[in-house]
Amino acid sequence: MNLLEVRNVSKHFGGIIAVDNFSMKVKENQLIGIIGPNGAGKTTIFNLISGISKTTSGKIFFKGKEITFLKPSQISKLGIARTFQNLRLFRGLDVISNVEIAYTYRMRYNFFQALFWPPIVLSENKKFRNLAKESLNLVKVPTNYYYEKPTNLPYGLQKRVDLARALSLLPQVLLLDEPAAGLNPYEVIELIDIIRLIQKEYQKQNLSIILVEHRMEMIMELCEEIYVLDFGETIAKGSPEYIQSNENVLSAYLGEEY
Amino acid sequence: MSFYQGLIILVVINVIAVIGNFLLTGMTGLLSFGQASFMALGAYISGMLAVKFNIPFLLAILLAIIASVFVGFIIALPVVKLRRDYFALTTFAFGEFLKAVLNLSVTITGGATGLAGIPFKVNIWIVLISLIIVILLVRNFRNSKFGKECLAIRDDEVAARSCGIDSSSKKMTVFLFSIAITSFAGCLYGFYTCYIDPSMFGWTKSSELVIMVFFGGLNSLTGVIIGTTFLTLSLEILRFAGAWRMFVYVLIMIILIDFRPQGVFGNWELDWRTFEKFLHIPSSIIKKGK
Amino acid sequence: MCRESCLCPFILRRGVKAGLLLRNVKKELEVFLQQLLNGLSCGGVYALMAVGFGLIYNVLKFSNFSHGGVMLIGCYTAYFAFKIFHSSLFLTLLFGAISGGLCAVIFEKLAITPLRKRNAPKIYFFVNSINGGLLSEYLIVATVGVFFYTFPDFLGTTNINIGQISFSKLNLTMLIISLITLFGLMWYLYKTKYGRAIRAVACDINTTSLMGVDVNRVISLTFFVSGLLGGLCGVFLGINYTIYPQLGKLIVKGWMASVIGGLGSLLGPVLGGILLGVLETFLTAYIGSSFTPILEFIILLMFLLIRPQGIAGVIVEEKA
Repeated sequence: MNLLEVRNVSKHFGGIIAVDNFSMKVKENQLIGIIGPNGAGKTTIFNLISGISKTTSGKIFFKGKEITFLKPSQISKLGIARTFQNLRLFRGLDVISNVEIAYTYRMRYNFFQALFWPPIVLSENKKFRNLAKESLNLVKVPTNYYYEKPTNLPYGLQKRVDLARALSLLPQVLLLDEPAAGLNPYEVIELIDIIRLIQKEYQKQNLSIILVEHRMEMIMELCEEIYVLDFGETIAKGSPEYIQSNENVLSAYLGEEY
Repeated sequence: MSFYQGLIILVVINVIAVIGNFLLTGMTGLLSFGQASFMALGAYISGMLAVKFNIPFLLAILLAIIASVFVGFIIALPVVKLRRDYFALTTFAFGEFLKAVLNLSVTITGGATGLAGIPFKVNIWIVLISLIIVILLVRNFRNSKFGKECLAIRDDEVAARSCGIDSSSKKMTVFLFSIAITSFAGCLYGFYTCYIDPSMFGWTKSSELVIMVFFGGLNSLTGVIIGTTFLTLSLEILRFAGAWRMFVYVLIMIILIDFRPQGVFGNWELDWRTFEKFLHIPSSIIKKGK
Repeated sequence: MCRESCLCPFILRRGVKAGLLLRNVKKELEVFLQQLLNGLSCGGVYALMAVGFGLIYNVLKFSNFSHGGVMLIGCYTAYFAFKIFHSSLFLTLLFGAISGGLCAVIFEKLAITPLRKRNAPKIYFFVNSINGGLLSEYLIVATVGVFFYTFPDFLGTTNINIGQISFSKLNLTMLIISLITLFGLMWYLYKTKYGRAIRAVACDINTTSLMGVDVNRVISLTFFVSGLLGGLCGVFLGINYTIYPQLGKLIVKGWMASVIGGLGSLLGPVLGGILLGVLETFLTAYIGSSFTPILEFIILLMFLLIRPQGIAGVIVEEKA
């Protein structure tokens, strides 16, 4: 059984076809890439999977159950987490609270207990604060930044906080939306290591990662299978070697020499 | 009871009502223009239960709060997932609707002539203890996961929803909690003045409650308490100045929001952080307890 | 032969009953048409209100609550203009409209421009617009007092009769003026360069300024136009009901009309206004004016549940 299956999904915005008949099968412990020029529909696919946009047609299945019409909050609780192209960190909360937020739905107290019984709030807060620290540690965010507001951090570290936040949902499918955008080449190499580390740490949970990226070194290095999109259509699908030599891909996106 | 005690009681009841509004707007960014009508619900229901069925004071208040929360749930259900403007205007329309209902139901509520004969049960100690309880509850709420989730929703609703937070149900929770607080203030009001009529809870009162939140500061509970106390006292004391006092009051509000939209007190809060600066307690000890 | 004589009175009786029934139906129909025309006139006023409100909403993306205050000021100044100058209906309306426009621009300079300069979140615009509405109310109470005033019967109490239907000349005039104003607004927005500037700012305020348009002046212009509509509407409301300081609260009807019709275009508020006016007139005629606000609110809630974007509106999706 596939972990995540996208079946013939299309998305129309009025007359514009953003995604045209896209299908994808993801098994456990896979690392899949989606590439294509800007406007090809890559982030739209993520929006469709995570429930932020509604599909015009097609279905999406997660662990065999249909999730096409579920709300984003439900989908993230089921085990699909994502990062954002433009970060979307919570500015009013400090870094560690940003990561803790992903754990809040696991905290075991209800509204009335929160009001009338602070001790349980304190103990749950402590437990999940430690878990948040572990996530931040995994993505190598230095401890002195934990209580800062996210806007005070360098851009590369902010991206890692976004990643830690997504990981704190304890997902089985992780959608990474251009995690290397805005990073210098050294930071990109670090990021490749971190993604490998995440794969190893979460191997027991059968974590699969779907990566949307423009940086070819990351995609070719990390991914087992690559989907190539152009104007919403899937123009090629296969291993990195196959993609690199595919004529359609070369003329649409990669350029003649690669 | 002296004049000053009466004044303090009215001020504290107002503060409790404004705290309800503060919780809603500060936590979710939703504006409610019907808070006075929830005060009316609390006052009328608890008053009628006491007058017509001789139900004891505390039980009447509890029943009134439950009923108000239920009504609030029904009117918020369609709008809590829509744009914020819709919420504000629906609560405003609800205020008008409730006024029409109250004026019509002459046999039950006394209509425009009001409900009289509510037993006098409220003294200064009851209001002060109520205030302290409400402050503690709100503080606990803001420090818990609900508080953090609401701040996240305010900052970026899309990202919050992708982190497992169901924003509509959180907004509803905060709204219902704020109704409970405001209708409680209304109950206290009824049992203090012993006479209520629909004109006391109109649109002007609702707007007053909203403006006071913005005066104190959207993010500061202490600021809202101090600000509301100051404003209510000034308005009472300046009553002799006639109709122009309200004009000047609103004009000052406009200018305040123009040039200091975060309110007089901004983000300042009277909590551990202020004590730490005041007594020079090292911040590491405070943070360890976090 | 016996059968024929038995049938005749039978048919006669049936015939008489049918005739009576037809006459009842005709009467019902006449009453219905009467109420429909009244409703359209009321709807025209609500449409004006909703369009003025919706104009600001489309351009600055917030609900301008001070529109109620603009209606109030327009109404009172028109009344006093009438008292001083004994102006005709049209001049009074003009006076009301222009004072409404000026009032809107003053409000914009006082409460909106400083916030725009600071790029404040929309919630502050909304709150300041509430303050603006309150300010107008308190200004009236402080200067004029809490007394009610009434406009006189401008066109006399003559009615126009079509068959048995009696349609007051005043209602008809108000309907015609509303329609003319709405058409005039459409022409202004779609055929003049000023209208085009307003529409451009409504689409994207930053890009429009980069295209060389003085956005501040366009916004002041939008407020002025919205104020014209509001002032005109205020005078109509004053004629229909009475002139009292809480007149501004009637803006909630304009908002309801926008919700029913759908924000985001100009057709929506017009449609919603007309529907609301007709609905309200029928409700008042058949169940009385005290129950009408109650039913209206319930209908509004159901509308928000079923079709929140309104009849002519569009749901805008979020993107991440």
